[in-house]
Amino acid sequence: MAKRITVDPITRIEGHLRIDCEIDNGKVSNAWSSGQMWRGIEIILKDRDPRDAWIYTQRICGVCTTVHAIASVRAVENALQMEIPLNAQYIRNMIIAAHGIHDHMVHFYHLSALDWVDIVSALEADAAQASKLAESLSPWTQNSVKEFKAVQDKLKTFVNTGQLGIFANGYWGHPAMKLPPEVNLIAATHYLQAFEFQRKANQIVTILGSKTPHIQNLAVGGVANPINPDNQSALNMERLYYIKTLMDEVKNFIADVYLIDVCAVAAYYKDWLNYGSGVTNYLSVPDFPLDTKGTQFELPGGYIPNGDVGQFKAITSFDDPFFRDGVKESIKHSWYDGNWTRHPWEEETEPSYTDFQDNGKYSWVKAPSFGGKPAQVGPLANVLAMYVAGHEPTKKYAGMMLNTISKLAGTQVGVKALHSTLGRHAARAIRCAVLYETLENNYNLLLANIAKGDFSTFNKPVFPSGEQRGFGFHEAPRGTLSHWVVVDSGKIKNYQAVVPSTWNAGPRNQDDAMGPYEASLMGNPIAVPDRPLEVLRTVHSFDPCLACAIHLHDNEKEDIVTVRVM
Amino acid sequence: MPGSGVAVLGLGNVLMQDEGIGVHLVNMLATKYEFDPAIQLIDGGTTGTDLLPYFDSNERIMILDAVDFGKKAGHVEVLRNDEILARFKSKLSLHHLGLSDVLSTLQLLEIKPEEICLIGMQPASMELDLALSESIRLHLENTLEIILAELKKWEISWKRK
Repeated sequence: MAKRITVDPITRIEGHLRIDCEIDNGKVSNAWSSGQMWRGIEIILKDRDPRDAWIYTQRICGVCTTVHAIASVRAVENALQMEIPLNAQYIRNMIIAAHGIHDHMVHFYHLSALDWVDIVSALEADAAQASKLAESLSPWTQNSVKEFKAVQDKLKTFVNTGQLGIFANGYWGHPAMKLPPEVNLIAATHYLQAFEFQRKANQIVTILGSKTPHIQNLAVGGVANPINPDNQSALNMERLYYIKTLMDEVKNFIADVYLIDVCAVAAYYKDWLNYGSGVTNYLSVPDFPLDTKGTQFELPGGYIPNGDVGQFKAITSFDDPFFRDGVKESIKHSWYDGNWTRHPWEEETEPSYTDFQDNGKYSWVKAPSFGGKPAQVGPLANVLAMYVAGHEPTKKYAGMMLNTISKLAGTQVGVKALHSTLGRHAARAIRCAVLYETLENNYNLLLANIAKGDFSTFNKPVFPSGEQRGFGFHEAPRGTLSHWVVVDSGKIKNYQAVVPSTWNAGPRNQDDAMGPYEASLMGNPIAVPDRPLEVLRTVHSFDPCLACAIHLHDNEKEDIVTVRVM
Repeated sequence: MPGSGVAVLGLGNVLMQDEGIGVHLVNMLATKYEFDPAIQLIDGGTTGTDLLPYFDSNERIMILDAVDFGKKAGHVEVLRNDEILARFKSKLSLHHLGLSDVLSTLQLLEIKPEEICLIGMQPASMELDLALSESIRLHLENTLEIILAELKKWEISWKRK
């Protein structure tokens, strides 16, 4: 008889995701992913000025505010078929690159590393051995015995006074934790150091966006940053040089720490390069436009069906009908009225709650499909697309990582291993390194363009009477994000956001095919049903964040994670 | 950068009516008053660790948030320093995960502002709406007075704009 477990909520951050699994013979035999809150941004935006939509959409989520702002202005610009000044593209590109770097680092270290790293075990480590090991893997300057000893002492104080604080919910001592104490200490130390470096990446967003957590500098038609190399209050050379300083500091952390740590985790947990693939239809979109029309991009994107890179089809412009016509959402298993599968422009949002019905409706998240099939989105989808499209930096960092993992694991690990729970972490690290190069490139392009005397940052939008339809996409840290807008005589008539976590956390679709979270859990080993660390590992590898996939609407939630075994 | 070393962080989601009380309050402070010495007024939204820099670069931090005290709508309580995290062990702020993570992370990173104070207000309604509920609006002036009184303890004076 299969055992049923429920984990709710599954993330540390805003948004509520519930996962139910059936366990048979120590393995997951069935799974359901359920968004426990309802999102209603579509209703708030109705009849508003499309130029203001981005201000509201960046409130959808507390974690990825910037991405919704970007997708929203792109959607309205697409509806109006606008061109965007080059400076504005470069400035936006720098913001989204820096934001992506920040987000990928936070995800690995602060939101998911503790699924693999046992903080309590780090207390038993030999700091000298840890330092020797870390220095053999990386030129990073903060891997000294002194550094490791200091962190170990700090952790000891924390644990001894019972103040586990942020570590309180970890599965310490779980039989699925496999890292030696020294590696746990190295990772715990980098966990602390990562706070400083993710913050530097975010500072770049703050400088360009005028403010965080909510950037202020966007506008439909460009950006609101006045450029004047000599003016104190404009984007000037002093600010641009400061950004460069921050970039240089972040660069080394990505290359010498983040990449290496993911390799080490992957090598010690090489079994996890076999679990968790799930849905292998991969969708990503091109991003970092380098022209005014959005037809040339620094990073490629596209669709790979059935994990077969030979069938990769690129998405090539902000207006590409292949993407536009491919996206649909089904509510067969979602708490909305009816049973339809529709294009986002044709959707309506009529909530209709039932209980959790295993074979009926069980989630506030809709089930998106691309070409009629569920698709996995995220850094893995993007890295695979960039790799097959021949993007050189992607090939370089993917090669570096796979070599390092192979060396540490003592076995040959190829690209195929990326279709897995740990493969998603590896792909995120690869993408983070790629984003750094993108940031640097756009910085150079911006400086060169300003040097030419082009200070333009904004084209004024004009709304004709009648109806216009637009879509805007962005390859966000959690994957493909698209906003869909119908404008009627200068007012919003319909607005839908199809967010990355909707793609990944979606329930079964119109054909009852499982969503990516659900499918990826099938066959995962579960050592201790009431401490389902393995479920967290696989779901966390997608970087789940449901504040935007559905709305934060639930003030009745328990304080701590509930795990029920039935 | 203001020299007062004081930051006021308004937390909440303005799309969800009273959920966004903290943000509405911080915006009211910014539009209605001038402070001397100047203080940082921050719309923190529903973010978590993105707020860490504000704790590191200020000596005194005031957090304004919607808090479920299980009292009548508009009820206000002021919690200070260790009291905040202690109370978070039971359900409290609606931004429980974000804010308690920030506060625990401060301990871990040994960031110790001199004072942290949380001014929490009991929400009435959290439906999808940009405006605060009627019953909360009736209590806003009272809450602003409490906030200003706390700022006065930190030697911040103000005048109406």
